Amino acid sequence: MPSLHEIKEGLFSYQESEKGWVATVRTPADLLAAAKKVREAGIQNWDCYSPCPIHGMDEAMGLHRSWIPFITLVFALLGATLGISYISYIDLIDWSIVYAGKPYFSWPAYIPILFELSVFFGGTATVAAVLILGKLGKISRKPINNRITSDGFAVWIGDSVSREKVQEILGNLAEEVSAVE
Amino acid sequence: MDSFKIPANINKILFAFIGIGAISGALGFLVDPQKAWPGFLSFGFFLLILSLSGTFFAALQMISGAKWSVVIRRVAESTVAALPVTAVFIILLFFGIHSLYEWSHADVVANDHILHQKEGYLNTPFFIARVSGYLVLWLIMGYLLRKVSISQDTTKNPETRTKLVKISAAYILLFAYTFTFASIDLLMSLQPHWYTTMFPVYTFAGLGLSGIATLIILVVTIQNYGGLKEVTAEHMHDLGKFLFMFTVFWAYIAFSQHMLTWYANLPEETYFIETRISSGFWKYFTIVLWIFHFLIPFILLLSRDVKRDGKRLIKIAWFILFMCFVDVVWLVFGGLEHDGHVLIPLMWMEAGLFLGAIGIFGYTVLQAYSKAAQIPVGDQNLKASMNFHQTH
Repeated sequence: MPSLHEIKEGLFSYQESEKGWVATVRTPADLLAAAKKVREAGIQNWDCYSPCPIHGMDEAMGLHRSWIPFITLVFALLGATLGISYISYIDLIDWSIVYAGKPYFSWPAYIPILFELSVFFGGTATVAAVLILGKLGKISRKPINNRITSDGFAVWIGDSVSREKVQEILGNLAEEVSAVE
Repeated sequence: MDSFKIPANINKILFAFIGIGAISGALGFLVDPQKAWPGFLSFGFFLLILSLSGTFFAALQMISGAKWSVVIRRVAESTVAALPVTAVFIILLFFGIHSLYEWSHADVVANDHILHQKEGYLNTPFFIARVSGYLVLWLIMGYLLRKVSISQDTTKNPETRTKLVKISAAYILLFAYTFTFASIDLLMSLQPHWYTTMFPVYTFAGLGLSGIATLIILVVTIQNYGGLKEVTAEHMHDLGKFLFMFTVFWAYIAFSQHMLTWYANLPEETYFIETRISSGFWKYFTIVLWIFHFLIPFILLLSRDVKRDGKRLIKIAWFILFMCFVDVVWLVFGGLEHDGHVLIPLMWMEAGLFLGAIGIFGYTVLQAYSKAAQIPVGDQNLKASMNFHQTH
């Protein structure tokens, strides 16, 4: 199992800063190649933008696995525990009634509720985690390039690197390199 | 593209398995024929679901237009090669109808109103005709699918895929009906007074699960001996997900059947589960089945790393395959009685027959697999399959 520190690092690795350089590339394949070059150059503060998911992007960018499945698992187990506690509290302690000649603790009847609550807790926690950890829903952010939401692909690199260095890393992969303020 | 060369030591192991199966089968019939017939039925049905599963998987991938699975399609199509031998065993089972099924006894039927009413369907000639019919249909469709698919290796004609989709669609439809009725005829009619609407779904869940487990075992074994280099961790991951899905599906169907029976509490429905969980040997057998068939594989397969690692996945697949056989034994033996006593399997005979089934299936399928190209080289989606990547 990973340490708590690693989990925390994994959860909050998203860069909020926008100042730097944005280099547009022509195709998804170019974006993969560009991502590989930037990663190999050892740059820390950078990101890729694409209007569609690209297979192999995680490896090219050197991204580790998302922690969101673990959040889903923990909340699903929490939901299951709450479900079984609640229904068995009612049936055994608070309001015991014999239904259809079955015992008070009728576990087969609990399974659907257990399942539903696992799905409900796991599902809503996952959506919440995606929104919170991805810092989504912020409307004041300006787009770094208008084409990356329709047909353009771009690499963003933080301003700790000079424009010349960016051009040197990307070489002729970059269509154009512009500054983001 | 070279075809796969079967290593000599694999054949030796498979022949040893067939030998063990033959000896334990023969011994079983010598020691106790009353218990040997149900054991033989378990073996026959297990071999049947293994031989059908590959063609079903290939047809399913074909009609859904899946691209990732193209590299493993040839392995799935090869499983039909075990069907002719299986058909021989099923035909041998016809000699045991009288020992296995109570509806085949004229005196029992005459004194039993329900069996008397069901006689139009449950009678020996119609039973033999039906089961033989299913076997013929499965053999024709399975070999047709394989033949057309192999023809594309040389012609490289993209139109072949359209033809394969049509055959697959017909196969899926036929398979749904024939397998439903085959399950009812071969296994459910062992307890002809029992009513349920979910039995064929349950056997189908077993077929899917053992089929995927078999596919994983075949793919990883072939890879260990230098074949199927195109299959990567990405494909193993999807096979692992399939294995996980069918593990959960099996539990879902088993539980659904159990819960509905439990709620309604009708005598004609409950006695199936009652004979299996109320007392003694079968109570522990059922608990072991539920834990080892669902709970342990479920927890093991939650991990992503396990699903991507063929070496670990094949161990789980072997375990699941064995539990699928135990499940068939549970279905066959659980409700059987002889002279008022609950019938308990011989155990050693079933264990031997399991190895025998593996030996027969492995030998015939690998022989067929080694006769054609390892992957469908003429398929237009092959490249997409080889470049397949999972997203995180």
